[in-house]
Amino acid sequence: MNKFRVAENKMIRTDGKDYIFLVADKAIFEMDTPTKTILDDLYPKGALTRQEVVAGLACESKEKQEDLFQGLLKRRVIVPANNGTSVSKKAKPYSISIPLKTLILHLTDGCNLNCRYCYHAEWDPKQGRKKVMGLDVARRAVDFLLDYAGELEEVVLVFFGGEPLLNFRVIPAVVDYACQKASEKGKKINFAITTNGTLLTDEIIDFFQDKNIGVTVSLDGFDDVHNRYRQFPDGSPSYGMMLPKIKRLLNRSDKRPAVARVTLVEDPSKVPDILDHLLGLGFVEVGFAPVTTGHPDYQLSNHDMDLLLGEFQNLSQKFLNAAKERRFYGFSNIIDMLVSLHQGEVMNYPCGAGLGLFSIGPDGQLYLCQRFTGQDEFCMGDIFNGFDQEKLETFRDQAEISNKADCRQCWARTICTGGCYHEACVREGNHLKPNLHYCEWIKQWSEIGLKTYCQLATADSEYLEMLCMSRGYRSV
Amino acid sequence: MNRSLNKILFSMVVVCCLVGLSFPVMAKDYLYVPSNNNLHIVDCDTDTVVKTIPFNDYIVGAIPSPDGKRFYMNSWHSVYEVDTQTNQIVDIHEFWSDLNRVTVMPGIAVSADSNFLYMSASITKKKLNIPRLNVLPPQLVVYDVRKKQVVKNFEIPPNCTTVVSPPDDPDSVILLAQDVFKLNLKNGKITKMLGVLNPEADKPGLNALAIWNNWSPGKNGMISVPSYSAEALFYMLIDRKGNLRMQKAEEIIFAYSSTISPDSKYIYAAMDEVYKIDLNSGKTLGMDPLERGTCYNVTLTSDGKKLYVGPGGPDLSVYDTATMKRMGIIPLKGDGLIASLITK
Amino acid sequence: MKKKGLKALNKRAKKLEEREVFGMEEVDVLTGQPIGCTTVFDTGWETNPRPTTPMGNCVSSARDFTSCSGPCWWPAQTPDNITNWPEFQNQCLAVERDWRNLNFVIKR
Repeated sequence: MNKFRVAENKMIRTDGKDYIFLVADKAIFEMDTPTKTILDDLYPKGALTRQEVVAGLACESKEKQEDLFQGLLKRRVIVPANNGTSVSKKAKPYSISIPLKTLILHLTDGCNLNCRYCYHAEWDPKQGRKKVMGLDVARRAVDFLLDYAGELEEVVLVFFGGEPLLNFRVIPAVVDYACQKASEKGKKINFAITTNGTLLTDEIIDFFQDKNIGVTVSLDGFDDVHNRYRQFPDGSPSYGMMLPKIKRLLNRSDKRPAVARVTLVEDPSKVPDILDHLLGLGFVEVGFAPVTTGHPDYQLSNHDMDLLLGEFQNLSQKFLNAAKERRFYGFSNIIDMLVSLHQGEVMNYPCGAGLGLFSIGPDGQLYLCQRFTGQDEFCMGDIFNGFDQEKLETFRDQAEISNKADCRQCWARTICTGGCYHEACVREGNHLKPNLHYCEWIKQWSEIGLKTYCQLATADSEYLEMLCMSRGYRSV
Repeated sequence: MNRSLNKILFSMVVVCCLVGLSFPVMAKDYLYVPSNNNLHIVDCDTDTVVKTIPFNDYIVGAIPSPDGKRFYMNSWHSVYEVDTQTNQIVDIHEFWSDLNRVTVMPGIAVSADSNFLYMSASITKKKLNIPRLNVLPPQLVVYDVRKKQVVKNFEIPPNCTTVVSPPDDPDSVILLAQDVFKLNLKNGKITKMLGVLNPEADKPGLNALAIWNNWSPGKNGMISVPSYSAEALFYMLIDRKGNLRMQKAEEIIFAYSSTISPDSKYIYAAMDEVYKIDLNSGKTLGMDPLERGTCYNVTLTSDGKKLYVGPGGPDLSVYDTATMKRMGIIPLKGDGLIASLITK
Repeated sequence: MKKKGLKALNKRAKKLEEREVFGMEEVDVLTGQPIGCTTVFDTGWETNPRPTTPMGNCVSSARDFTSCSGPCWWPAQTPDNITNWPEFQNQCLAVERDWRNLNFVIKR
């Protein structure tokens, strides 16, 4: 006998309205009160027969009951309860090789700054011998990207490091080469760079504008906050000397506005001021990330994380208020969350690392992502000989969400998917473990995200479509 | 003393071996019959179902591997791999996903070395976030069963429902489509063997009811496909080497499937009646109206003495080929379409 | 299902709702069936009355109901089991015996 149950869900109530988030499908519906009452009644009852479910649907007529049942079944609000007697089908996809979408080139592992919390410094055992990527390796990397891109029409090349501008001399040649090769293959290539901003010149800024290269600047806020951790090797502060360069960059970046990335080490109460300061300078968006470090001195304490959550909530509200007036408040963290919820794509992995995204070390070695560059354990081959298929398949097999037992019952698993591998490696000791240390935080942040989403979807769903398009998702 | 004892023991061992050699292992016939949601295995000596394996699908085609170790049955989107030694479904090869929509045509074939499946497939590709569907031209897909990977595919003419893999010509497959083609697996070249719906100027158009390929038992193995022109019935005969000839039937009967006796003397054909036909002359030698009609399949035992007609609904009729009299009916759990002989 | 009960907000929810529009999303183009289709009013040759056995006209059509449904032999009368109703055989394993279990299928 086939049995049914209400699907795993999280109900949200905000602004006087009720919503339901279907966990397994990542689908979000607004509910009216009668529907909510019905689901509240059925959900705790577990697996029921069809008749029992239909009987529980309080409606004016039998026809309407059947109609409602079919509607709930179609929307997967009601799903078949597993009976476990059928032959188990192991869900292996049919030969879909994952096309390469993004390559992150480590132009150099050297840097002119010596930021105290840099994860790169912590892991690089070869400090003192700075490697630089030659033009031939960079060109080969471009070929590699285009060869493995499969059917994708657009690919992304990111310049990274260390400080990539230390090796600026290869960038124009690589960009020209990449554009030419991409056009030969009928593909489009997008460029991006993450820089500490201290080496920007007018020539470089013009080049970025000309070639439409997206710029992300790592800076931590206004001067005293920024200077606390982001210093030159001799200890001198960096904010003062980079500010004019940043201003020049922001004044000229109308084609492709620049984005700031802030690493948070302490004092979450300063976050709103930092955001306003950086938006005021001219950055279109600012994203905040708590520092990833094994040093307890630099980690945000639980108390700080709670405060941070509060600040994020306030900023999300600010974003929402601006959105309702069709204005844009560039708080990246909430924008990323809203886009992810609106797209509703259920991911089996927390990010593209090892799937469609890889980093290339200066010698041409392939790594899972930019944070793992230089670490042999996460080397997946090289661009001359190709992928280490076995190692890569093993990683993909092991990293899949179903292996994270802690996550199985979590309602936020299709949003979080266990979190960053590097963060897990540093904080949990194993990149395959879920990030349990910030699990509660993520769940609360996801709830804030959901509430913001639901309010915005009800007020102005077109705004959400525009947000997704700005992130490169086509409207379907 | 020891030496002579050893000699005696040695000669005993030799005698035992020789004795062992003179008794060949008795091979037994089994019929593998997929029906809705259940695979039945019939013992051909006792005509009883000895095992039923449940699964959840609707099977449209089936074929044993030439080495007899595997039985493959396919639904529209999946191929089920059955180990004939343990009689268990050991793998389900799924060919449908949202981005790669593959529908497998009923008549799949297995390579001569038993390592590859040859499938005629309808493939539609989709990209994430893009609502366009990309319908590929019809494909012949070569699938490595151990590695679970498509190793090659060829564009083929449309409407190929059956792929035939001649055991003595491992480099080619025969495609039963709107016409009959031979596809060279090495270079992908396609040659037309026989015009069916598109005949040559002086030849008649034909309607060939080709869905499954049931190799007749024995070394002479042949496949027979009833084909109708406006005036006559022909049996399209394909041998182990992949050679094709047409045998005209004396009597026009309606048969969906036919099979050939191991001594290559007789054709057995059925739909609503079952017929025995002399292969070389096309004369009808015997007939019986089937109490349970709509039978899409006929399968012979390896000695050619028994004929299983069906399934068509939830049953198999068992016939004695010498007398063409029905010996009994084997009931099944659900409707079926096809049955395969496996001797082990 | 009236819209006021549940309103789809995100793209995934809208996709789940869209499934009711026939042929919009999950289109499977079947390119390999040479066996022709019947017209809407013709149930097919298996049930045509003929002077010899079997005279099965009044019995629930053909014993191979499912195989004639799938590849669109009866495109209007029965649901297809290739794309839209893939587990159709679960409703009736043996049509002669179980045809009473067959439900109406309505797409709105």
